[in-house]
Amino acid sequence: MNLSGMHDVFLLIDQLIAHLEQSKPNPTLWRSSAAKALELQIAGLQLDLRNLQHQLIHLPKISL
Amino acid sequence: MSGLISYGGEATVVATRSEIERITGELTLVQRRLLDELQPMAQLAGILHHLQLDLKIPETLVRLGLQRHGCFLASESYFSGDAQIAHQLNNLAEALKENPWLSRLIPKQAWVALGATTVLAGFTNTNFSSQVLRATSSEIPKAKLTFLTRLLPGEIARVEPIGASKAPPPRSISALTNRLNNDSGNIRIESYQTVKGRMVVVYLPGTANWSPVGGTSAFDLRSNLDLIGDAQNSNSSRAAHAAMSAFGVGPSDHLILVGYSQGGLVAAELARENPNVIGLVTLGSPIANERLPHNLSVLSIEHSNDIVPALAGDTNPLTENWVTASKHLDLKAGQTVISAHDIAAYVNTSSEVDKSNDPGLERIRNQILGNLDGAEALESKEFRPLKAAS
Repeated sequence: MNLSGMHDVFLLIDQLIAHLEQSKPNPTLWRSSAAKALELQIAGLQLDLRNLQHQLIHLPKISL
Repeated sequence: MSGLISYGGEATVVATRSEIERITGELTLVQRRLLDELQPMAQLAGILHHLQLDLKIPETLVRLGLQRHGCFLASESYFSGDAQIAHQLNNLAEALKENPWLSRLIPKQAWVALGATTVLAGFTNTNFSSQVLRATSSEIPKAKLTFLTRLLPGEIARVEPIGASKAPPPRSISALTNRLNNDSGNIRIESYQTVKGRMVVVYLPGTANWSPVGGTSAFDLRSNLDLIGDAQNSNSSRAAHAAMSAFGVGPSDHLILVGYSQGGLVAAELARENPNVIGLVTLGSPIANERLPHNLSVLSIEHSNDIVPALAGDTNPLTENWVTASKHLDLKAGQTVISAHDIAAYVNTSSEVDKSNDPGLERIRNQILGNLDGAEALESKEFRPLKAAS
């Protein structure tokens, strides 16, 4: 994959993180311990995807 | 982690099915994009990038599946399983995060479809015995129970005063429940002077006699059936009334009721009819169907494998002023589920209730104990609840 291909991956991860933001409960419509737990889990997923993005940026490009 | 979970008691609980369904839809879309867009890109990436993506995508899919399944459970049974769902979501996600190799045990093709369901099933079945009982007991018509009680000998109750003393005000839930932790089977009543006026704490014991006939205690099997069968007056509640009358409980007194097992049912009945009751604590009592006043602070402590609270045939409602603290009691070899109903075990669980920082539980706990802030002990008496004939 070339640089523009990796750029697409980063862009897609950005979009997925944004999409996950929309998946968080709207507190006006769902507010409880379960909603809070879900929100925390989604935030954890977003953080992991962001970390993945950083790792991919810093990985050396090796092709076989 | 203590294993204590709680639900209810939050002033701000709001839940709408449409919102939960919207979230489920969004999570499904994220899953699809991971599978249909990111995964193919991983195949084209360099070897290290490929490996990194290949490691992360499956785990993320499983975690998304868990959240979706949690949303499904919430949507289906929100009012009975809110805290359990939150607990499961946390536990499972943590387990996968700490042990990513777990996801390797699930076939690649089945990650999304099966992952969450398979793991969650194991958790929900831990409460098997009491859930089965809830399912079956809900099918017993109350009219049949009332009919059954008519077949048992009916008697009028009375109380016998045992003695008087002074007790320091209880400062914790475990201090409250520990005053029921004895084999006396007596009703205990304490009074305290507080800034709000005289506060009376009534402790109601559990069933002393499981035989349908014989025995002297008013807290017997017949009373149990009366209470569960929705009969207006059981011997045990007559005995509670008699004890309160003998103690001199007046119309200006504020009341906190603490009941174990059948005592919790009696306490709930008293709370329904007496607006002066401002706090109710029950241990292992089947009070899920009690229509309690909305402004009454209620704390129900239950062991999820205790069959007695399951006799209600339902789980406690999730309301602003009613919090249920539940724990699956680990039984040692040789112990039966009856051990999960033991008062001493409930007192131990009460200590965990005191330590919990769950917002709903903390709020109701503070409301109940706050009534005794700055209290000065006045009097403490015990009464033996007896059938009139004994």
